[in-house]
Amino acid sequence: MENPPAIQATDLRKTFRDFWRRPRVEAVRGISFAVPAGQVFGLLGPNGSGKSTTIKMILGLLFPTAGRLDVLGDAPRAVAVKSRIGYLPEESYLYPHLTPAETLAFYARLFRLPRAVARDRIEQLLEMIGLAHARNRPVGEFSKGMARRIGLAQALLNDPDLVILDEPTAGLDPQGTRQVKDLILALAARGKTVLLTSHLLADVEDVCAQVAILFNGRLLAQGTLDALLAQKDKTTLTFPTPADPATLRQVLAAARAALGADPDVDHPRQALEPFFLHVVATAARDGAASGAVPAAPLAPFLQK
Amino acid sequence: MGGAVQFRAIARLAALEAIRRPVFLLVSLSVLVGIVALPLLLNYTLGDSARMVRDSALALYFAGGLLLAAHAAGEALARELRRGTAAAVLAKPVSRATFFLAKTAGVAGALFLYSLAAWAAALLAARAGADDLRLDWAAEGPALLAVTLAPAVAGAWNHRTGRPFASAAFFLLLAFLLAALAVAAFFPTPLERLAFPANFAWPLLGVGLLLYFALGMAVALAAALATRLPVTPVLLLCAGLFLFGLMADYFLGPHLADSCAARAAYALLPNVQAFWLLDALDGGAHVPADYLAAAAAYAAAWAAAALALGCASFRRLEIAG
Repeated sequence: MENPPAIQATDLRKTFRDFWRRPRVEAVRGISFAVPAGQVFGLLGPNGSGKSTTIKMILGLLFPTAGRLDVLGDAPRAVAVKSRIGYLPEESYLYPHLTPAETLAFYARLFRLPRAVARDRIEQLLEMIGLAHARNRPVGEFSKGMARRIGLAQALLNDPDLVILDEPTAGLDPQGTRQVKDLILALAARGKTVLLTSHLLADVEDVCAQVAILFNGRLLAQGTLDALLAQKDKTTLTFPTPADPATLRQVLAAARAALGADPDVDHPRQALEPFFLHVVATAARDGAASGAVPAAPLAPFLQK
Repeated sequence: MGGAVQFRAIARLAALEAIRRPVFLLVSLSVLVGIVALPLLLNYTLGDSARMVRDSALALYFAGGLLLAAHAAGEALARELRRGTAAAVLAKPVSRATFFLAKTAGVAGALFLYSLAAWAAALLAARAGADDLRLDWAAEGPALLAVTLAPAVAGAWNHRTGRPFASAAFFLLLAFLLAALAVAAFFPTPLERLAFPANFAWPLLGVGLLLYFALGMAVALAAALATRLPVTPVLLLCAGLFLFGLMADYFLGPHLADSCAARAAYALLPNVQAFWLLDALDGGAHVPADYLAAAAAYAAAWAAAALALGCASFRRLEIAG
């Protein structure tokens, strides 16, 4: 039997009202979607399209004006269901005077983690996000990217079944971005559900199995990336460049004869991200860092 | 059990956040320096020096406390709602009631620490200024040293470690003032007119405690208002309500017999007069224990009503930040 969806929204609406209860902004206008359990689901859309409002309704922070919303089989406002959710807000909302270790210890208490478990996970997460060396600095002194990493660590502290990431790669350097994407894929491989929003469509394409596109509070498109993006009427063929140019000419002539059209010929390019990561990883082997250091692999408690 | 862990964590952080705000140190330091300086400032008081020092010290404590109560409670909720930290916490398995009540308890805890420091300063000032013509330097010296050394040491510590100055200075103020009290207790007072045990006017603490109950009511009111209003209106409303509560007997007293509205307003307003028992201290009298208990019960009931309204308001609040 198929698992029930982690999130099910049916004709969900949200209208913000002014002081006199008059409708002011219709932020979400009757959207319906299902986030399948164990998948990475991307909620996309330009600014003001209703993504963050939808996420805040899923978290029980905002109340739907109409429609139905189920999160992990429960109402979004149920306190118990939140112990199975990890949330990374769009902005890193942290207490500026606390150190990373104090911040994570505070959230561990909110999750009611036993002290020994909390201590262990905090150590592992600080290593994972590459901020173990800055554990005693107030987070108010951190760069946006470093604060984002702390935000990510607090979202994973409870080893959640549903991870909600609002712009998870905003403010991160390419290494941090790659790590977050690897983390998302690793969580999905463990059967966790990940709901993310991002403006960086290349990042979304790297990790999401399904996406929904919102605009002006309405759902415009929804489905798997393959279904939405594949151009079934075109085919790409990649093979090693022949040593003799004549061989390539023969191949093209055969293709032209068979298809009745000229095929496009190009050399595939390496993506900039892996090239950048290789260059920086080589340089980082020399010298200490004052900011975030290249992070360690996934925290052991997230691999089990 | 788990709820208690969350409550403690949020309350402790709320207290620390309140103390770490520069305005908390600024108001505390001004009040404490003001109290400690009273014996130096009051001269030619025609034999009323002890009473004037005591009354002024407690008035300063209460006025500063009221400002801190309204500001800290308002900031603890309104600012966190605006900044987004409230959303981050409420996305965790924390009930809104736990969050709201723990924040309020944290601010009340911070105010209790402020009260301890102010009571210590008031005891020292009351002893130092007990005579019109001579100062008791055994009390005034350590008190002055405490309020000047604390910011200096905190500044040096901040320079060395980078840790927050405001909270360090506040905690040092508290520690140094308590130490000054202990040091002064070792020295006999040179002033013959003092007769209380260990040369301190301990009954002053009874009125201090009563005023703390009133501050607790102010914290509850400010927290309830902060669920819907920004900090400045919270401050103004709290100040207005407590000022009106202080004058309720004068304004409403004559109309209580024949006006339902006056009776309702009298019952709803915080009766600050019930906590302002400075005259009871004249002649070395104590505030009776049963009066303290009755005042505590009144303050608790009034604060509980304000908190219940605040809880109900916070449960319905949409958190968009």
